[in-house]
Amino acid sequence: MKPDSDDPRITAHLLGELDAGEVEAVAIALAGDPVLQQEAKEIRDVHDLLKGNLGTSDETLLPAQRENIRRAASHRSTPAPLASIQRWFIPAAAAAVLAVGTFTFIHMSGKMKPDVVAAKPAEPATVATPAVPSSPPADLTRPNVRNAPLSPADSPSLALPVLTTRGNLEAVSNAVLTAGTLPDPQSVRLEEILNNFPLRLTGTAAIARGDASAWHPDNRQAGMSRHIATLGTELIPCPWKPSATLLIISLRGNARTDSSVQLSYHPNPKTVLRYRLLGFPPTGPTSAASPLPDRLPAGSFANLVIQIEPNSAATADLGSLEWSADGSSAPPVSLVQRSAAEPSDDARFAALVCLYAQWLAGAKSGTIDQETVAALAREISSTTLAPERAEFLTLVNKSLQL
Amino acid sequence: MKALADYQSPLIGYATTILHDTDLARDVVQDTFIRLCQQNLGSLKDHLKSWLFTVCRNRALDVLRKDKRTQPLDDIRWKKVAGPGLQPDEIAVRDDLSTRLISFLDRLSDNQREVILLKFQHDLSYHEIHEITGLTTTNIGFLIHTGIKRLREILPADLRP
Repeated sequence: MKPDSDDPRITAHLLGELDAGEVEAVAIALAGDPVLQQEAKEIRDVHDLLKGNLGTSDETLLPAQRENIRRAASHRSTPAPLASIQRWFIPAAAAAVLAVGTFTFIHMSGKMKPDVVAAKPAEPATVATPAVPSSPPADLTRPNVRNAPLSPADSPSLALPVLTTRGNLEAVSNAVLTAGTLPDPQSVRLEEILNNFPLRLTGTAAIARGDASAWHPDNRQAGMSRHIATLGTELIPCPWKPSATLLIISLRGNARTDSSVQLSYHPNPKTVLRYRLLGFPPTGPTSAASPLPDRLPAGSFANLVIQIEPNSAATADLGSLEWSADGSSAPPVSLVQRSAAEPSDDARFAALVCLYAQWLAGAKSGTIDQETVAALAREISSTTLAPERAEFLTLVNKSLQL
Repeated sequence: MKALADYQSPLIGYATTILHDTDLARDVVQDTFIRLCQQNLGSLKDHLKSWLFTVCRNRALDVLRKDKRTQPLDDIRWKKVAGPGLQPDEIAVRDDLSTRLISFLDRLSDNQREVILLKFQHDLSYHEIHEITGLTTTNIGFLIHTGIKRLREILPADLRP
C-alpha cells in the first residue's frame, strides 16, 4: 500500500525501524511524491530537534547505593529458585527435627528455649531468659500506632508501643503448613510474628534500674536486683532497601516483676530523611483515648524495627532512643551507625522476619519479593540454628513454594 | 560493573520522569541494579538495556502506585548534561531549549511522551520499547509518528527547525 503523510512508516523509515521489505516501497513512494518528501523533511527536522536537545540526566547513585550494588554483585550466587532453597533447607530442617522433635513454635505458650546459637556477645547478666505471656490483654492486641513514613521535620519523635503479643505467627503457620495456602495479606501482623523470637543484639544497650539506693550488686545473684528492663539495639543495612537502615530494638523485662516502659525514637533531623515503624497496621481511629501499650510483663520481651532512610551515605548519627521504666528515666541510647560492623545473626534473623512478613502482606517497597526472601533465608540458614528459628525457616520455605 | 557506569544516569532520568522525585528514582535504580545482580547475566547480555529499563519502569510504577506524589515536575526533573566543551552561555541556551521542549512534550499523551523519550532521549529501538512498555511495535510507530506531527503543530515559531 502506498504510504501517505499520515502513514507511520514515513517516520519509521527515517528512524531506520522499517522491515527490509518495506524500506524499498517507502523509498520509492518518497522519491515520486513531493508532498511526501516535504512531510518527511518536516518529520526529520523535528526528529533532529529532539535528538539533539533532549538532554539526559546527569544524576548518579549515591556512593552508599553504589557500594550496596557492589556488595550485591560480590555476594551474587546462583539465582534463588526454589530448587536451590532445598539445599539450605535440608540441614536447617534436620537440625529442627533432631533438636526438638516435639517442639511446636506455634504453641509457644511456655518458656522459650534458650537460643543455641550463642556466637554473639551476651546481653547484660541481669537479663533473664524470656518467657512470653500466653494470652496478652485484649486491649494490647491492636494499638493504634503511627506506622506511615514520617519525616523528622513533621514528626521529631515517635512514641513506640511495647507490644508483647505474638499470636499471628500461629495463624500464619496454620494457613501455610496446615491449609497449604498463604494467609490473607491483610491479616499478617509483622509486629506479632517478630515478637516470637528473643533477640540478642550487639549494638548499644542500656539498662533501666530502680531506686539506686535500694540496689546493690551483691543482690544480683539472688534475683533481688532493681533492674527493671533492658533495651538492646542494633543498626543494620536494610536488605530490601539498601539505601535504608534498620533500627532493631529489643526490650526485655525483669524476670520477676512487671514493668511499665515508655519508649520513643528521636530521629536526627540533620541526617534522617524519613523513617517508619514496621508493622502495626492501623485498625481504628487514632486518638488520644487509645494510649500505646507500655506494659512489659515479667520475663517477657518486645521487639520493634524502624526503617530509617538517611539523607546521605556518610550518615552516622541517626538520632536516639529515649525511654523510661516505671516512671524513672533510663539512659538514652545514641544510634550511631558503624559502617564496619557486621550485622549480628539475631539482627539478620529479625530482618528476615520483617522481610517475610512484608512479603506476605503484599508490600511493594524496595526489593520485597520471593527472590529476596529466599536469598536472605538461605543466608541465615545454619545447622546450628535454634529450633524455633529452624521452624521459622521451614515456614518460609513452605510459603515460597505455595 | 560496566552496566552501572553506562546506565545509572539514564535510568535515574527515566525513573524521574515517572516518579517526579530524584531520590525515589535513585532508590528504584539501585533496586534495579540489585535485581540485576540476582540474574543470570549470560541470559541478559543481548537485551541488557531493555531489561534494565523494564525493571526500572516496573519498580517505578510500583512505587508510584504505592506512594502517589503530587510534587510538580518543574523544579526537580530534567537536569541536563550540557556535554563537554560547551561554554556556559551555550549550556544556558541548551538548557533553556531543552526545558522548553519538555514543556511541549508534556502536552502529548502519556504514551506518546513516553515512547518519544525512550526513542529520542534513550535511543531505544521500537523492539526495545516494546519489551519495556508492552506496546506493540505498530502502536509504538503510530504513537511516535503522531506525536512528532503533534509537536510540529504546537511548537512555537522560534523552536521550529
